[in-house]
Amino acid sequence: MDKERKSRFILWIGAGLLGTTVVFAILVLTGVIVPNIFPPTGNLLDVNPLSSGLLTFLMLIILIYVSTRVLDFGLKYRKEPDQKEEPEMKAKN
Amino acid sequence: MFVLKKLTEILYKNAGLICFVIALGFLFFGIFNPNAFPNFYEAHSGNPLFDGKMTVLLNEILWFLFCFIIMLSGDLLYFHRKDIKKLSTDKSQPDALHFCFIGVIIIIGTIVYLILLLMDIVNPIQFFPNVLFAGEETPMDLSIIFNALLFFLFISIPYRIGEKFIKYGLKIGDLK
Repeated sequence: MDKERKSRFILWIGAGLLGTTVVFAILVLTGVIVPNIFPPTGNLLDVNPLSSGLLTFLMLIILIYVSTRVLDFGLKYRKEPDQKEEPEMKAKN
Repeated sequence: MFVLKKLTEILYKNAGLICFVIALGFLFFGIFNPNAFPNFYEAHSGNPLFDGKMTVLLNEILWFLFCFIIMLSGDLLYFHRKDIKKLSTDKSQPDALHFCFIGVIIIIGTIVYLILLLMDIVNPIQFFPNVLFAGEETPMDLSIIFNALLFFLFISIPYRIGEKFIKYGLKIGDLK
């Protein structure tokens, strides 16, 4: 696989991760997925549902962070000079 | 590719301006009709004074936050319209236009959902029924605060991601 195709592949992986995050957030907002990591106890001072919601939000933020790092890597990889070409150019000179 | 570019340009220019105007309209409507806010969430502690004040305050804050997000989105789209015009349609940067297009679609989707919320057509999700911080004399239902907070946090995710798609689209196109 040439470099251009590889960088495109990496960029689209990052975009896919971002897309997954959006889809998950939309499913939570529409009520299809209800964050229920810690089951509610039913007590008066029950903060378990709040913790579940906040934890889900933090997980999505981590996903956004990871996908931006992947996108950054894809961009950096695209702009890096080719390692194979450099020695050939030096030899020619 | 040319059609996609034209479509993206049109979306950036028109959607940005329309969103800004709509958000201003909702904002002025809210300022002059403070009693017309839809009740996104209601407090149910049984203490009428607390419930009344908390419900009005939280719903007003949510209303202004939603208007603010719509205005920010309109602003973002409108001020990037010139960058989109500069994007090339040739094969050297094929992903830039796609990224910008996905970004604008996500942001417009968020805006449409927010407008439906402000018009009280869609109901916001209730994350949990009640978190009751109960005292013998002053029972207070704080679930309304947590619900509103979580709802705002989750709404902000599609906006952030749309913004990131646009940012990286412009970076791929060497415009930023």
